[in-house]
Amino acid sequence: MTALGPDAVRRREAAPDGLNAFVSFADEADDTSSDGPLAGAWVAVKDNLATLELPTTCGSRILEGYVSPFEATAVRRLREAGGRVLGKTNMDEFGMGSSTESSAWGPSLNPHDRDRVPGGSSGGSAAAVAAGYVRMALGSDTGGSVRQPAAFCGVVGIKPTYGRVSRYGLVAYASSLDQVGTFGRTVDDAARLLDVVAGPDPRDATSVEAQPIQHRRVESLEGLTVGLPSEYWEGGVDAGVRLRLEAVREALREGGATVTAVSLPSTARAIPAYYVLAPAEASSNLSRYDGVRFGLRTDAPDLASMVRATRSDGFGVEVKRRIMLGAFALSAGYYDAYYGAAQRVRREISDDFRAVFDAGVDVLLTPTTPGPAFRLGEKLDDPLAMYLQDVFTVPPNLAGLPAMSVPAGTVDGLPVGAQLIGPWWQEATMIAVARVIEARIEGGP
Amino acid sequence: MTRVTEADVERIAELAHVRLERGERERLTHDMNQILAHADALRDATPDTAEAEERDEADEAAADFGGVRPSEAERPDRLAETPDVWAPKMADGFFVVPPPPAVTGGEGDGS
Repeated sequence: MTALGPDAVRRREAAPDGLNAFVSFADEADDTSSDGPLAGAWVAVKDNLATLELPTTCGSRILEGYVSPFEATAVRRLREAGGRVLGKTNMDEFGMGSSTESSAWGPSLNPHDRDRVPGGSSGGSAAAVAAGYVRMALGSDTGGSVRQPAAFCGVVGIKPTYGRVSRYGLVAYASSLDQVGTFGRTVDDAARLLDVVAGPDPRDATSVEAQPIQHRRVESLEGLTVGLPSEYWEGGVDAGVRLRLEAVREALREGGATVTAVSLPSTARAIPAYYVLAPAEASSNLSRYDGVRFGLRTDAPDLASMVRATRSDGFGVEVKRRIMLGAFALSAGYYDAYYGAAQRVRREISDDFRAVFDAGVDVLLTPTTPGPAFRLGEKLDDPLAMYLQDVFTVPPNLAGLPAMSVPAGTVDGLPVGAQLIGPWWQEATMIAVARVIEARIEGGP
Repeated sequence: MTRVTEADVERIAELAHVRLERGERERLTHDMNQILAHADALRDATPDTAEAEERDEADEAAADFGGVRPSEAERPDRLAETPDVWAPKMADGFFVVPPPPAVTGGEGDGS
């Protein structure tokens, strides 16, 4: 376990080459660690998971200074397992972004190249693990917000099956897609933290009484079928990323796996569906920020003006854009054309995955992202280009499937991630394959 | 093809309870048109008859409760008015709500 505590990390972050990975730090004296699988380990926590002693701002000015009166189940469980919260990590505002640049507290930087983004929305958590501040961190993944920053920063990121981890205390962005995920320096680190936070919770009706993950270590992948979805390997993938993924594919083949091409025909419609459904849910979930119950309030002569002024001052550009998109998609005359159609596409995407897994595929291998980390500011003025960064990570969220990113080496010094997607509740197979990749691919931990 | 105009965006902003400056409105109009053009791919979604039937049933059920509310901004400033202006029923300065069926042994009578 790392020996760095909040004071040491705070000092490093205060240096000129700090990463702006954290938005608040715990008091090192408040050491409540106990025995357990995480005994003594410092864990970084994304700033959209409610904590009792630290503010929970979601990277938004509208929640500046807000301290929750209750704690997220995932955070409570990591404490009960002996873990200690080191601090809260920077993130895209309310999870809306793929670069951490929409945070009201400024962007985080990629430890591998400080001119580049660490990914998002859990960019602070990924950067903190990659920089060696912590071995493990909690994040959340609505459309790739754990896997994409894990790929950009060269660490492991797991998004479990929807319902595996309680969302109680996770500030809602798009409730049917949001899921708590874990980061680790190694597959074992990320898996250990997932084991700790997973499990049903009476406070979250969408959490499921599923069998705990039955981990297994395999020497050989004999008998295992790895599917390569053609739609993820065609045009649009950076040549360097493709080479690294081909190396992973060969490593799995050499490990004994049968590698076969498969098709997920609805993939091209995943981004359009996601960017209708997620904003629609966000427009509803974020209606609670009205200047009365939480954080910021901008004074105005009457209540309606106060609500509008507060939301206008408190929300950043990207949040406003998504709230507006969502309100439009749900409004009279457009509901069927956008929201209804997106729900149907969501079902088609699930059906595609189900058909492939029913045909005998155990796990799917894809690039996590089309390219390595991009430069700060490069996509800020082009929201659609930013959204398309999520093209490979969104489909598992729409289907509720488990997926993870594991380091697959580097391209020009920048990390590349390989994404594994498993059948519902089959995290164990996915994690076992990830360990093989970790052991066989240069650039792992 | 323009899908939303600046006037549409202003109306949506009203629904979303956000105030837009002129520059913001122009920018959002451009962005929303770009994103909605990309969403045209959804038009190929397979029609789902079963879902349509479920939807009709849901609409019927919703109609029993006054239907889905129209796309109009809620007016939080109605709290500036006295409750008797907008409350469905009041008595002696209190809101009157229907008792639950467990109390009445059947349907609430609304008093």
